[in-house]
Amino acid sequence: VQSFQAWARRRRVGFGLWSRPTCRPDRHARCAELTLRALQLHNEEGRSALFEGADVDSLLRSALVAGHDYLLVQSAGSWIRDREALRAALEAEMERGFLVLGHVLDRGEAYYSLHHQCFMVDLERWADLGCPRFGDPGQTPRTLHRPRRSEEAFHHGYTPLWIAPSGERQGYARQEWGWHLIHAGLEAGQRIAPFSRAVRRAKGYLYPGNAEGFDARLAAVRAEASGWGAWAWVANTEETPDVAAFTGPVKTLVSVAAGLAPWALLAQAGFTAGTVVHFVDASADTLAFQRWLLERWDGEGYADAVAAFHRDHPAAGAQPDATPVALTALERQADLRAAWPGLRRLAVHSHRIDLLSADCGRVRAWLGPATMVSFSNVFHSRRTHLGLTESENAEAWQRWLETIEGAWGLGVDPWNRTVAGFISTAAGSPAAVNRCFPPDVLSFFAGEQHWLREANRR
Amino acid sequence: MNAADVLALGLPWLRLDLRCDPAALMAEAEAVEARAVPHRANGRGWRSLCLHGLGATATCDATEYGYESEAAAPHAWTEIADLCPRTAEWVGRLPLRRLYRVRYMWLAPGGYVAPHDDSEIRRLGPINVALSQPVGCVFKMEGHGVVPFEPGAAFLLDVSNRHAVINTSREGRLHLIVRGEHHADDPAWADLVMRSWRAER
Repeated sequence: VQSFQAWARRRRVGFGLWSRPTCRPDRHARCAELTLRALQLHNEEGRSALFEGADVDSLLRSALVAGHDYLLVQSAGSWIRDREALRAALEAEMERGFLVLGHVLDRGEAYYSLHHQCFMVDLERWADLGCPRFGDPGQTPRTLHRPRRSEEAFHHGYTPLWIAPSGERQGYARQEWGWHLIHAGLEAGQRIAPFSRAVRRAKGYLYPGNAEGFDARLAAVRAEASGWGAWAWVANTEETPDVAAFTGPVKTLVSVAAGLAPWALLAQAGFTAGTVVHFVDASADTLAFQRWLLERWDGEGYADAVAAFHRDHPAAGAQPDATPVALTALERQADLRAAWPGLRRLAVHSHRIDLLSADCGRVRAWLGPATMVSFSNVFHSRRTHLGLTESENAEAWQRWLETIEGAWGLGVDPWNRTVAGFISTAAGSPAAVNRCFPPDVLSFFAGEQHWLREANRR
Repeated sequence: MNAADVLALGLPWLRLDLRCDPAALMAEAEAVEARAVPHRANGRGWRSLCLHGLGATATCDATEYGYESEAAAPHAWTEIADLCPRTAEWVGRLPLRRLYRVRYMWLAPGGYVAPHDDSEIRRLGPINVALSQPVGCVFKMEGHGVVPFEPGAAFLLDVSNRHAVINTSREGRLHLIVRGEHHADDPAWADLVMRSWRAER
């Protein structure tokens, strides 16, 4: 199963926060945090490879020298709602080729522009054009490439379904964001493509400049994140960590209930007939799935088993990326055929406990010698990064560390660092790294731009 | 041509014919890295720690601590030198008449030092030793180009040239900067300069 992060790495997609404020400071700060946390979630390197700056040209140039092929730029308040859908939609656009994708606006006397909330640039094509500047708003009369456009629009007439080079020029009295990049691209015959409906559906924007209803929109994002955690989690997309350092067999496994991961851990670390399993999960559907699996599954044909579970439990939330192909790959990776009969006979208890809440303290009752605690990515997920602030997430993590201190734990921390070993509460947060350089530094090294890009791609 | 002539050529840098074991010196530096402090505001991810100077965390020029000049300041080995004995020994063997500041200079991934110059007087002054030099990290002097640092390489630099550093890599960079008094008429220094000059040619 290729994760969004793995896809972004393969396609060399960088992620940028365009941090230019568009509203009052407190609202901007909330939005910037939401967007940054979402970017940290979707970016494999977490805090260590983001581009954040108030100047789009610096964001693009920094991502170029860092070796990226594409930069997805988001303003504060923008976030990815459905990364699997976004990946599929962007992959299709990449296959077709483009200079820039975004919300293309045709505002009459103003030249064509990009809505600031989100856009993506093909950096290789941008570099081939000589890195044309983005273009800030202005009121200078200019003669610019007038594109052909669709008569139809996504909405309100000013959002064309497509634009294309016409070879003709026209005078425009005003310019809005991104006008120069559009003009330069059209002049060079490049494709400037409005985001498709699929991309539009796969992302969200809080419109922080619009105070009316802002709190409700923010609350809706948090509610959506919370609902995401309630699906029946039948597949883990993260790799199963190495448990070779655990001295088995496992006497007690305390684990979140997702997919085959808990069973694979037991098969790897070893278990006995007396091993006890405590599933702890915020999702009632996931707990129900594990009960169903123990009762009904014979250890072969996992994809069919998941389909059968959903037929028996039509109200259970379906994990969107748990495709038959993905589930079959997961089954092959877990390789439980030999162990499953023994695993099915273990004493298994289900507890609906949200590890992000103070309720996590209940876990203490089951800790003891030869106990393994598997918390997977509970503290680094869409639920935490879109539903909690950074301080709320860190507080939940600290509470969890204090709960299981001294036990043998397995999972990832809020910054996506692997934890596998005896738990101490001393681990701190890693430093955030902004990879966007200021304009004067980038201009000083303009002559080394190509060399740096190649060096970072090796 | 003698050492004084070489130093008067107006070179932006001179690769010094010096050898060190960068891995061993790096290991000592890593053990004290947590004590490093941010150095100047004209950069990002730029941290420093003194082995020799006015104190381990007194990383700036002596004039910023109330002294008339570097020469007038009572520089001495700091507690960091005790923790990094191989590095201190290597520095101590340099043919300098007197040591001023000797500092570790870390530059984090994504870090930079903005374009600036450190002096109005054109002269090859500080010795800059690359203990690490990730690919994607570049030290450039305006009008002269990229200083060809590599791990273990030491350069005598003329920092009156406008210069800057950018670290676009995913690894930190560590240099050791040695400032002190050197005179072309000191035989050991003159010998080092001439050996280095010949090697470069």
